Amino acid sequence: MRSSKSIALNLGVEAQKSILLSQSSFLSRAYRKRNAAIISLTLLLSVFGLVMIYSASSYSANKNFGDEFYYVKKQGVALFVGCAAMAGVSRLDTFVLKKMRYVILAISFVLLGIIFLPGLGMESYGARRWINLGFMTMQPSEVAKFGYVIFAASYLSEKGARRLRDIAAVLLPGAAMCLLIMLEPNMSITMCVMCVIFFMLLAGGISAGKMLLLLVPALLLVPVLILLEPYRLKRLMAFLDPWASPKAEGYQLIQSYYALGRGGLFGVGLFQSRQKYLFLPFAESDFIFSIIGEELGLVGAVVVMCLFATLIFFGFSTAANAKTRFESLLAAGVTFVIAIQTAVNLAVVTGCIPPTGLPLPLVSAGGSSLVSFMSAIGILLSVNRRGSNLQT
Amino acid sequence: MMLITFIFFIVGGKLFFLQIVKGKSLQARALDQWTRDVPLKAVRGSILDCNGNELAGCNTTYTLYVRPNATSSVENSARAISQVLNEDYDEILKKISKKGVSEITVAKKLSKQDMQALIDSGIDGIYFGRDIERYYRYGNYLSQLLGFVNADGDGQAGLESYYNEYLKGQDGKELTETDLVGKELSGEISYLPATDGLNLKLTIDSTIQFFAENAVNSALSEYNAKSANCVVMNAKTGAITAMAQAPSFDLNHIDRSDVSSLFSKMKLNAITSVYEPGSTFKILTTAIALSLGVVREEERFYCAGARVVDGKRIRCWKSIGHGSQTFAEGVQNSCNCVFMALAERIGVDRMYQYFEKFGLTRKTGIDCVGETSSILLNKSAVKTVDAARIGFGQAIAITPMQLIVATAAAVNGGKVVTPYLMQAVTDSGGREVIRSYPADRGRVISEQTSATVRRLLKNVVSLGSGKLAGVAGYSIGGKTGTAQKYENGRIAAGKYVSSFIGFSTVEDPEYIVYFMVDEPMGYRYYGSLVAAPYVGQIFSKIFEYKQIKPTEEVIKLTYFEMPDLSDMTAGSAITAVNRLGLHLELSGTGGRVIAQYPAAGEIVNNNSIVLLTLSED
Repeated sequence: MRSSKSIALNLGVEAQKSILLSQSSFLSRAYRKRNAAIISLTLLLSVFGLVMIYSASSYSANKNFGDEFYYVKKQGVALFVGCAAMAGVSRLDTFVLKKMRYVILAISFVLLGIIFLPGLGMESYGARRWINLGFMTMQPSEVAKFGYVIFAASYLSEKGARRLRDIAAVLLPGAAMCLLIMLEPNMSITMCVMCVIFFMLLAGGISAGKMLLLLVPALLLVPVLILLEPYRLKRLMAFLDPWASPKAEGYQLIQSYYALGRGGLFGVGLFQSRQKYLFLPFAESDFIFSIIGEELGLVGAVVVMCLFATLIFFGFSTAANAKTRFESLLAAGVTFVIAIQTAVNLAVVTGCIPPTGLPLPLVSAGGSSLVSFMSAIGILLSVNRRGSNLQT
Repeated sequence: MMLITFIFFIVGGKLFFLQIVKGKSLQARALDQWTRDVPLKAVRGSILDCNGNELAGCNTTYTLYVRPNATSSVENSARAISQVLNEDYDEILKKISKKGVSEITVAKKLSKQDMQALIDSGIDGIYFGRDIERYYRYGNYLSQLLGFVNADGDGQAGLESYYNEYLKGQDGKELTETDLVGKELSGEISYLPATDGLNLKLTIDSTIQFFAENAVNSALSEYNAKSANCVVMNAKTGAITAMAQAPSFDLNHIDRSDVSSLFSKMKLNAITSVYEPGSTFKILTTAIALSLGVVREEERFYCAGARVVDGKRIRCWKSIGHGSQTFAEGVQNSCNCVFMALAERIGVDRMYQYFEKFGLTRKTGIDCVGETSSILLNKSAVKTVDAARIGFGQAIAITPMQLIVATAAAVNGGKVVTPYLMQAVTDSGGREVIRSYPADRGRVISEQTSATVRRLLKNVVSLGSGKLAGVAGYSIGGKTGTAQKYENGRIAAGKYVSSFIGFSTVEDPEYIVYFMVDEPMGYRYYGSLVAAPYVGQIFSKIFEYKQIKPTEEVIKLTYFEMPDLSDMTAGSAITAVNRLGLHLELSGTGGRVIAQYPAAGEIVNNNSIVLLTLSED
């Protein structure tokens, strides 16, 4: 194989080799074990998330909605739906997805477009990110990013990423998606989708020269965007010294620091958070990790990070052991979405990068996020299930 | 994969930094937002006199705060508050319904009963802060020395400032855990109790202070003077018994609008200003000369009204001269010529050595803010003529307190004391935390020399210019002083400082009383006439108050009519006064009498002092 950069491709080849080398049930067990681990980790993290959401939101929920279980109930329903979706998708043949790639891509775009229709799109905190379904709201970008992964994996598995027109075919829908999400606006998801595009191209075997050709203008775009809206630079840089503007840009990060600082090594104990008393905004969603750090300490926070790392490891391992190039790319893309969003959320909460509003996968409150992540994990399960069936 | 792992490690590192390394300091910063506090003011310590009478104390009042977020029914609260405080319901309701504030100050200066009534009414969301208000029991009394506090209760002047650290205590807090907008969480309140200040027990005796206050106030109005000052000190220990100064101000109603006037009244002259002491300084010249053995009591001096020193003629205050007199008589007469002669015999070097021993070259070390020290000519620059003038109290400027301390040393057996005001610092239970002990700064003259000085000064009161400081039946010694004031390096016409320093008893001096009137108006500016009578008054009241029995034989006074001396020649008038056995003060240097005091026909006794004003040649 030509491209050493193409991780998924190499792993895919290894997977093919392993088929040739061994037909033993030992490998079949390995697939099942992997699925058992992924299911356990997913359920563990999402149930743990439910507990932490209760802790972080009970006070504010009671104050704002008169019901301390307001967020817990919504998340509980989403968890239920998510489990069903995960189970359903895991039974699904992933090649159905491949066949329906254009339909899925189209649905993604339609959903992103609906936001801008008055009456259906919902505005809050100055951004149109939600579709109001009456009984619930959903965030199309949560669905769209996985929709894009399915499309890109399908396309790249067939055509590769060597020719410019193939690269363009993968890149352009992604760029269009970015544009729509940017218009909401939702910069953090936009950035995530951009990362996903590059990751998919890389996994699809793009050459180093062409990658640079793409990366350089993309990086140049950043200062242009900043120059267009200078308030962004101020917001961006606030994370370096939050105490420079403790009431404005720096406020949220300072509150996150206070929570983490109070936690210490072992934390103040479950439900004992002080910062959840309205001090820390979005304590139940984007900043839930701060509350985890406060109540469970450094030890708890690191354990949660390890759970994510293990989940991500099994995700990539799924990709590496996938039977086909399409499945390998699909699993790698799904895992990468989980990984990049986890990493960005943790980096934001700990003040390593500028603040953006991005939920922690599986743990943060947010129904559409939970359901779409669990569905995506269902894809991983399906890939493993097929692998294990082929063995036997 | 690499990128994700990298980010995870960075995040882990940052978590360690925030949670372990910075944890404590972040918590310290956050503490402020997690709690709301109501200040608990520490009660400032009282200032007491030596008998435990309170001179300055505190009233405790309470401030009522309402936190709307913690109030279950604003209407109920408003009703209860309006009932207890007897205020309009609607006003209170409006006040506590204010939106967007976490805490509202509803009323100040509530009594303890009002506070209790509000607590008993059972309404929630109310908090009380304790406020401390300083009061001074006697108002315009000991004002410069006590000083005052600012709005925060910190000492700003006088002893309030000097002993602020002991008096102020440590404020406490009542901490309530709240959410972001100030709503109480568990209802748990933690107290950081206030530590009350310590009490300051002074050496001041409030009764004797009253005598001194009355005296300075009468002197100020009688002589329309710039100021009148009085200090009573224990001659053996240096403990200040009284320290009064007029004009003064009421500590309970300080006019902070006129700062310059306030500052001038606040300045404690006895320790913050220097003056030319005049004849009172002769006590020290006497002590030095006797100590060095350069003069004997019965040695005779001749005063021709002036003495030529280094070719310069320096006049005696009595221009016609005192004639031939013994040294003892010279002290009685306060003859300048005698003291010029003594100064010459002592010499500049030895004079300055003694000045240092008497404490004239440094601050006395009294425990009060703003003390200054003397202004002395540089020793190398002192010519014989200057030394001669210093001998009778000119060409030297010292603080009254330095004079008092040096005089105390001259009469108490030779010990230089450090004057002090703080007798003890006590806690609220009355236990002494700190106690002052008299500080002995060494011996300057012998007990025997001191005894001689005392005997000479007793004669000044019984026979000479100090007569009016005498109290029948009591043994008192002392010396008058009348100094001309200098302005811009020249003698200021008609401006004098009249003073008297006395002690009792002569045999065993305990009280030393200093009285000084700055710029008395009118023709009677002599220390013997202006200051001495007040010292006499104060002594007589102290004897009565302390129930000190008379020890001396009371000389029967004879009363007679004052003859008319006006228009007589100076010579014949002086002879007439001497024949009556009265002490005489002269004003002017001319040949004829143009005015007399007491007036002709007034009833006088053989203890009276006569003042003759002579024509200006």
